[in-house]
Amino acid sequence: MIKSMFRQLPHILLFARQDLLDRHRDSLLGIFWVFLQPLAYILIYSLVFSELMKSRLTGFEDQPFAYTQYLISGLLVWMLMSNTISQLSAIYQTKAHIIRKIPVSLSIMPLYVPLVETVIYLFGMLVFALMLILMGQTITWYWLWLPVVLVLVLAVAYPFGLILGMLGVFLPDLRTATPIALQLLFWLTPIVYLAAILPESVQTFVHYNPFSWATESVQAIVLYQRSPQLGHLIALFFLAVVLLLTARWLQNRLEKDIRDLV
Amino acid sequence: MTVPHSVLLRVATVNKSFQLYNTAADRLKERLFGLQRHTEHHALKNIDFALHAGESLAIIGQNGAGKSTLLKLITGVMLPDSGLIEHYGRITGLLELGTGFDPTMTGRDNITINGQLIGMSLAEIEQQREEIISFAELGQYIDAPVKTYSSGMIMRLGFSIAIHANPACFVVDEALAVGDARFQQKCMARIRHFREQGGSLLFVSHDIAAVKQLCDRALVLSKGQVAFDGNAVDAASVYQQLIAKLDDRVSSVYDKIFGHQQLRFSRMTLLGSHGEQSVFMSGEKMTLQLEVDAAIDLDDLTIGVMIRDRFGNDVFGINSHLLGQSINFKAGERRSFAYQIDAELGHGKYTISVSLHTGLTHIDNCQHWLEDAISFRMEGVIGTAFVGVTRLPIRFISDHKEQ
Repeated sequence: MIKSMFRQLPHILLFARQDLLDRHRDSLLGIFWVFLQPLAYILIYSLVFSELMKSRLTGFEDQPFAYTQYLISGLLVWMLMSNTISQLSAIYQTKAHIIRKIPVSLSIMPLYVPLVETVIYLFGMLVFALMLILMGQTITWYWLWLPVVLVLVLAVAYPFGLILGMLGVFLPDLRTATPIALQLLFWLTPIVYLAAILPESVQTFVHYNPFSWATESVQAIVLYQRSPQLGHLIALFFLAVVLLLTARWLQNRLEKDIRDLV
Repeated sequence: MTVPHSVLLRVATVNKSFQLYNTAADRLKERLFGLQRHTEHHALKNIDFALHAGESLAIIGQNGAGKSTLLKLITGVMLPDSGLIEHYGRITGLLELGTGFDPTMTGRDNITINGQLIGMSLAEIEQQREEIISFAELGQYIDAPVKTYSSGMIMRLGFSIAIHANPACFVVDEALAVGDARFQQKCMARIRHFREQGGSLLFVSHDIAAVKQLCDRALVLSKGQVAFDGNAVDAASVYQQLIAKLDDRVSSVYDKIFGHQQLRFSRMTLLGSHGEQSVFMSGEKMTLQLEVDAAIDLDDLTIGVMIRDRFGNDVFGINSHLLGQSINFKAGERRSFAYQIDAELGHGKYTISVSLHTGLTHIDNCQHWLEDAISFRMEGVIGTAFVGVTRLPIRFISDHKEQ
């Protein structure tokens, strides 16, 4: 597995490069298009929701940018997860022309997707951190938890996306449904709003929503300046293990047919 | 390059079948829950062979014989149902022609992309880049986006990258047929050079002449099985017999029939060196046997023949009158005639039309005219290779004495 990953590293890097740089080569703003999407969302949501939500952030009444911080910490990690999942759900169609011609591994070749999304996420967090420093905030030692959260988030999103991608070869409906479902999940995850505004029954759902485990972990580190809940991290870890095993089982079962079909 | 006679590729009792489902969802149900929902197409049955370093092997067979499936299994793009495929060393070729080409990027940049995809390291690509560019003959267009290229230019660039990837085994398939004749010959020369350097070749083709030229050994695939494995010349004749048996037989449906038919063709057969056949090699002896029945007395009868190419152009026509023969028939008579033709024709499909009339042309008294009565195909060459519709008798004279 590791050996084969090493052998295919040039391919992964090539695809990542194509996705990040080559795609925007002819456009005026170039690679900055990649970062404009999160920026646009941040602007829209802060303008629309900051007044609504500010009062709900108890303990931050004196900080005008508290809501924006809350929003960005959740939004960036959400985009990392949802972009990874939605791209992977169609990965065997996106790269069909390669899979038909070159013996690439079905589980390793798509690694370029989380790689690209991680680069975008890290860049976003870097800008975010600079912004915080400019506003006079301190970057605490709790930020060291971020890489842990990041690895867990990817370890969940990657196999989950691959599972959708493999099933999507047989059920094209799944590829269409994934972005819609993700849109729905976005509003079922406390990113734009605070979990506290929800009715009790919905709060229970949010409590068991793995996406909120991830967003709440980052919100804890950045906004509340504390360690993420250990329960969330452990839950993400076990979810990752289950999903990775499922993805592997599915690949053993379906690889031959996927290669025949794409 | 490699130790001679070491095995480069081993294919051991490989089977591959395709399950045909009504929907892809049915396939998933069967894979996950074991519900039987398919009809089976057995594409390859117990394929067994090995390719040694430095050897060149041809795989020949009709469309649907399983050639492409076998190549896909060998390169690992598809997986077999059972059996083992092992290779030792890089196998690349025209299957990957232009894979991953980004149409918005220049030819030069695409060398890097395609080169990496077929397994070259960046250092290797840098080292070979100028060679690749000069072989592809793209001139200044190498710095233009690939989307502005013609299909021939893309093929040239793709081929050039593939052959410069320096594989242990080079795979050539029908993709070579793209591109103009001159570049095809350049490719062939380059492939021969690759062979001389000790490289192995896997050559999938319908072109029997090229197979005989390039390969020591050939596999004939028929309906997913190895029908023959041995030297290329024998394989070619096995293949010819196979298509003569199965392929478009002498057509019995006449497109157009004219004439009074008091005298008529009652039988016609096209014979070659293997008896009745519909595929010939350039330079092969071809015999058109014609049987004529007469219901009336008729003198000064002429039997004409016309060969046309697949576009309907007249290639060659003649009749017995022009050949100085005068034929006289009595009522109730049946006689046989034959035209013996040296089939000095180029690759492709042809038809033969025959006519029965009096005098020099069929305008006088047309008895029986069968338009496109028989079709046949030219494949492969006996003797000197050539291009074009026909091989004219020719000599080459030089004012110097060459050694």
